[in-house]
Amino acid sequence: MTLQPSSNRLSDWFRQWRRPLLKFLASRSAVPASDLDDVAQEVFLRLMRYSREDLVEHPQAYLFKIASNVAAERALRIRHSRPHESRWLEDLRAEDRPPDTVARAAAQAEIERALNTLAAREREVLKQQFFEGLGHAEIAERLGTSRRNVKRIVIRSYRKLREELDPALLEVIHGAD
Amino acid sequence: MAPTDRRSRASEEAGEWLLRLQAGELPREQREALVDWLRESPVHVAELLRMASVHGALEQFEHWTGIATSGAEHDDVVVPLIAARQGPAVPAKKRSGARWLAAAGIACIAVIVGFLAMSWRGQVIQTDRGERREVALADGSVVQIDPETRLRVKMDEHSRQIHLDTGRALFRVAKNPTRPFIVHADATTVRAIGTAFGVERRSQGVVVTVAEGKVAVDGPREDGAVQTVESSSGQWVLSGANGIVLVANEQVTLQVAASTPQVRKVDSGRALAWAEGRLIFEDTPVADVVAQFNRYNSIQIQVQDARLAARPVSGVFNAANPEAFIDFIQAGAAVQIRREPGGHIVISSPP
Repeated sequence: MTLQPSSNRLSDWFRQWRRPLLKFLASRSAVPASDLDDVAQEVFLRLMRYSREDLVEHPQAYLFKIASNVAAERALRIRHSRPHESRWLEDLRAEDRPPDTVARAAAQAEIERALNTLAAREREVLKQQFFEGLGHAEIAERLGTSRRNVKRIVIRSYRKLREELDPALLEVIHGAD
Repeated sequence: MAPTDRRSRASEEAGEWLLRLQAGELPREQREALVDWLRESPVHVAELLRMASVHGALEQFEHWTGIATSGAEHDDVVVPLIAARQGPAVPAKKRSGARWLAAAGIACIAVIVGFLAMSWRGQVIQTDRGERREVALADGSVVQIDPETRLRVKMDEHSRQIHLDTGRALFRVAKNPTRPFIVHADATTVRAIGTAFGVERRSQGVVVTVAEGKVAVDGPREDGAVQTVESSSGQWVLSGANGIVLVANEQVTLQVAASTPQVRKVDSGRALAWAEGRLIFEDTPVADVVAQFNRYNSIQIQVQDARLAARPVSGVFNAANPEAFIDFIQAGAAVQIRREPGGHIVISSPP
C-alpha cells in the first residue's frame, strides 16, 4: 500500500493540466477572492476571442493559462499603485519560505476546519483520494459502492468546501506554492 | 432561472468537469463540450476556477492524518482492531502532544484496517522505495513505516519485540505496563511502555527521537562498560543497565564506536516530520534533497548540474510530490528540465 498521491498518473498529463493549474493557483494569491468573478469575466471574454478549434486542443491549458495571465496582470496593476517591492529570486531559500508562516498555518487550520464540517463519508473519500492517492474506482471498491456514487460524494464535498473555506485564507496557501 | 440556482447548477457542472479533467486526457467530443460550456457563461468560468481552487487547497493540505473518518461503515473490519485496543487500560483521553500525534487512534482507522489482517499473520513488514505504510499491531500499537524499511514483529504475553533491520519507523505504543515494548536496532534497544517515538537506522548510527512519554535507550557498549551520557540539562547521567532515559522532544544518536552519545533537545514534530511524509530541509544541498525525494517516489530525479547540486535549500516539502520540488527549483534557478519516457526527471544546466 502506497500512501502517496498518484504522482505516476499525474506525470502523464502534467503539462496539460497540472502546470497551468498550479500557475493559476499561484497567481490567484494576488487576486482578492471578491475579485475572482471579475477575473472570470475577463477570462470569459478572452476565451471568446480564441477560435474554438484552438481551444478544443487543450481547453484546460488555455483556461488556466489565460486565468493566470489575467490574475498576474491584475496583480501588476495593483503593485504599480503601491510602492515598488523588489524581491528577486537570488536565493532558493527566499522562494520556499512563505512570506508568513503564521498565515500559512492558519490556512492549514482553515482547511482542516472546513474538512471537519463535512460528513464522515465525505471526509473518508477525500482522505482516500488525497492522502492515500487512490483513484475513484479503488475508493468505490473499498467502500463497497459505485464509482458514480464516489464521484457524487467528491463533487458534493467540493461544493461544500467552496462555500465553507474562507477565501482570504485560501489565498495564503496558494500564494505559498 | 434565479441567479442562485444558476450559480448552484454551474458549480455542480464545474465539479463534474474538474473530475473529468483530473481523470486524464479527454476525448475530443468532451473537449468540445467543455469549450462550449465555458463559452456559455462567465459564471461557468468562475465556478470552474473556484472548484480548481478547492482542489488546490486539498492538495496542499498537510494534516490528513488528523482528519477523522467514519469507522462505522467498516464494522466488520474494525472489530478486531478495537478488540485489540481493549487491552489493559488504553485511555481514550485526548493526547496533549502535537496534533499529528492526536491522530494516532481512531483517525487512522481507515488507513490501518487494510493492513490489519496482514499484521496478524505476518511477522516481517517490509516497504519498498516510494512506499509508506501504517500498520496496527495486534496489541493496538501503531507503527508508521518509512520507505525502504524492514522490521520484524514478535509478540508474546510478556513482551512486544520489534527488530528494525533497515530504515526508520515511528512507534505509537499502546499502554501496557506488563508487556514492555522493545525496539532493537543494531546494538541499540529502546524500551517503552506507552509512548510515541521514532527509531532510524542511519549511516552514522541509530537515532532515537521521543515525541511523547519516556523511553529507556541502551546503546552499544564494549563489554558492559558503563556509558556516560550528557543530558540536555547539562547533567552527567550514568548509564548502566537502565540505559539513557529520553523524554519528549529529546533525541540521541548511538554509534558502535561512539565516544559519548549526547541527548539533544529537538522539536519532535520537526524531527519526526518524515513519519507524516513531510521533508524538512535547512541549508541542505540539492543533491541530498533529491536523494530524499527519490527514496519516497517511483519517479526518480537526477541532477546533472554540479553547481545546482551543491546549492543549499531550505523549506518544507511534501515527500510524495516531487513535481512541487521541480517547480520550486525552476522558479529559483535557470535550469533545463527533461522528462524521460519512464517519468523520470533530469535537471541540467540550460543549453
